[in-house]
Amino acid sequence: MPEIAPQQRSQNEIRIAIEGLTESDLIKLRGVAGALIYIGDINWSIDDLLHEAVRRLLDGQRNWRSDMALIPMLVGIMKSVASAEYSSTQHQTEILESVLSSEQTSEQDDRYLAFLKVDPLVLTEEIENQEIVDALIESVSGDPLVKDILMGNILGYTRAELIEKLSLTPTSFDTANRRLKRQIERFAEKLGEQP
Amino acid sequence: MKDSTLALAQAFASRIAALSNKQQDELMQKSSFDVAKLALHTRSVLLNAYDVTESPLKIARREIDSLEAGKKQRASDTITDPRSYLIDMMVKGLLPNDLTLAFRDGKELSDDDLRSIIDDLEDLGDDLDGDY
Repeated sequence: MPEIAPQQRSQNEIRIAIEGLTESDLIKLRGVAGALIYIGDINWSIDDLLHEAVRRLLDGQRNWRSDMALIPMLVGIMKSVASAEYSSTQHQTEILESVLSSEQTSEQDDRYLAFLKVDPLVLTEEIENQEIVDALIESVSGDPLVKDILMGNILGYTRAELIEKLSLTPTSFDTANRRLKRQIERFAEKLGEQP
Repeated sequence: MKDSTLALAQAFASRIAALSNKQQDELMQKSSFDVAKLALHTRSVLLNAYDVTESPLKIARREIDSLEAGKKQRASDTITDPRSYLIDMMVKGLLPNDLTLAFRDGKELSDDDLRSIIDDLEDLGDDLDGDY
């Protein structure tokens, strides 16, 4: 007897699912987008990445099976977009071509989705990188100001907003932000040194 | 962006995605950030995807495609037999002298060469239909 594939969700079902997201869910999605952009140093806004993830569901570029939760689905799409953005070259045309290349992004999404089916929130190939993430988090946690700046950036606050919210002078913010960026670079290098 | 930067970003994003609601809520409660406002804005951004007919990337792609399509059609694109065309122009005395000599000398020119010559003539402002 042939296996029946789980049904795809309709656009209305997607809308209902988005409307049903809790505050925690929404902050989580925002944080994921923010981490990809801020730590990945991608020239996108958090809103654009979130928007693009939903667009790809609505356009049918990515099929959201009914046996999969919305959050891991959107997380996978955003990671795929970020990865494609990384793969692009300096030229704007090439950047757009690689991101819009359905063949390339389909392969990436299939890979992510295959892992999501096993473990919805942590991709297998990233587990070995989690030690570095732990080290980065520990390093940042020891510096409350840097920790706040990291969190603020990941949530999408602008420099001006963070200066005001954290009651900083522009100079003290910039100094702490540079410190944070150096830490991120250092840990990225450590990750790069891994076999 | 280095490979390792992307890898770190992906791993960090996974870490955030893997936080339990309790862990996440505790983290946010300790911060000075407005969770309710951020959540409301994020939901709005997600739902806005329904209202926009094209994603920013598609709009940019369309703009690039139209730039490509909008490139001025060259005369050489419309001429099916560039050799006959140039010979005809030569016979009518409408080619520059050096080009006429090249033809008369039997200089070997490919179709691409000939099309390039036609384009150059167009760039020089020559009226390629012969009407000066």
